Amino acid sequence: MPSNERRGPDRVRVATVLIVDDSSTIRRILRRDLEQAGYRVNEAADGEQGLTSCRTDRPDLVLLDVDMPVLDGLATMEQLQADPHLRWLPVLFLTARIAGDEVARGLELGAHDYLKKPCEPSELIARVSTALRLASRHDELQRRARELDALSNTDPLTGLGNRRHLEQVVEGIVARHGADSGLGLVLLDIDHFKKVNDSEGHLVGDVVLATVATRLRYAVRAHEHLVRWGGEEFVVLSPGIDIVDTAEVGERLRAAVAISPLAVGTGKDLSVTVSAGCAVGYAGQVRLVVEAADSALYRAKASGRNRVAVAADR
Amino acid sequence: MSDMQSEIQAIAHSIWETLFVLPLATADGAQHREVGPLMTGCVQIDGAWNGAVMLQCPEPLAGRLAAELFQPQADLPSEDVQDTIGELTNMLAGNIKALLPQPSRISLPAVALGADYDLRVIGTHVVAAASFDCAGSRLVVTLLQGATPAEA
Repeated sequence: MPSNERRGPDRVRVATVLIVDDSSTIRRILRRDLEQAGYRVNEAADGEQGLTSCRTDRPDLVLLDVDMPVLDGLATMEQLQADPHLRWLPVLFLTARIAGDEVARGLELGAHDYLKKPCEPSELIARVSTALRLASRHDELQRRARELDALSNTDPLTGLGNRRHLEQVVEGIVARHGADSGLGLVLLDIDHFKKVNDSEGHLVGDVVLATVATRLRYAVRAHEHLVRWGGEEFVVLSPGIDIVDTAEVGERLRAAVAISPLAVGTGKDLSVTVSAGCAVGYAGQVRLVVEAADSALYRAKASGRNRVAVAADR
Repeated sequence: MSDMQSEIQAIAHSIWETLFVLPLATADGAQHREVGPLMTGCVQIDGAWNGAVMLQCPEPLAGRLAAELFQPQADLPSEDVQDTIGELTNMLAGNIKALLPQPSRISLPAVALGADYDLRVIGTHVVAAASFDCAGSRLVVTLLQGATPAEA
């Protein structure tokens, strides 16, 4: 039976098998057997056509002949492995019954399995079905790994990214634009948060944190990265802006929190404000930027809270 | 019986058992005893070993094999019969190639049809031949060797 388990939301669709073989006779026989088993089938006559079909039609599995003109099966497999979008596509090699080193080479290159030509229809269907099932499980593991990765980068209380997430954002900026690319950073701290916890309790404190996070989330722009830095502190990072623009970001965020009292579910509203320290620097020295923003934040607190202070521009 | 002849026999039986219901029996002698139209498939091998694999099959038997392979709803077009012989030659050559010095490549199959003709691959000589009987007809698989790369 065909696997209907691939790619999450597409579970109900029929799996598509791409046959890459220079023999139209072999393609015809395989197509007949696969279609009788309920699979959808695409065909390609050589490796180059096969790669094109993989990129445009995104089959669920490839049956790949080894001995082909233009681009043979082993070279095609190498190109599939080099393409991050196709690397996990399950491939079954089609080999001669006496295959020599071809089978070992194909498996070394990443093929899931191999079929010897000619093969019984029942063996073909069994191997295709097994490869699709394994690929489906691999997809599921990948999805769970991505979920776990997202969880490890997310603050559970506010739903914002955490410090680790910001580190990854900075690593991405360094990788794409270099360590000397500029960025602006705003460090925000909820004013008198300890008093809220002491007088209203930690549950109310959590509501305040979550509500402030929501207001900040609505206030940041698409290119700005907001994370919960820790405790009652938040950071907003914006690539490529100067200290004047960074201070404007800080002011926008401060105003967004202070705009109205917060309803915290105890029958009374709390007036909550944040202070902000702003700094700019290089992506490769983000620790220094945070330190500069922290110094500015200290001055904002010392000068009365609910205000924005900037560090000296670099 | 040469080693290569017994290898060809084993390969042919293996392919037949997978693809066809019609039984294949090893026969003595390589000569074709048939009269009438004969279909010949030829695949060349080149690389570390040079030569060719030929399959000779009477046309009526080729038609029966094609019908088994493609299970048509209507009459088979002649192209399908030629494709069947071409693909059988290709499978035989692909497996024989694996027993020869590497790296070697096989060509696309060519198929000839006619009566009373002699198909030759110039510069080669027969190194092994195996005959089979299938549904009362005689099939012959021939391995021809050309000059080795060092001699060429």
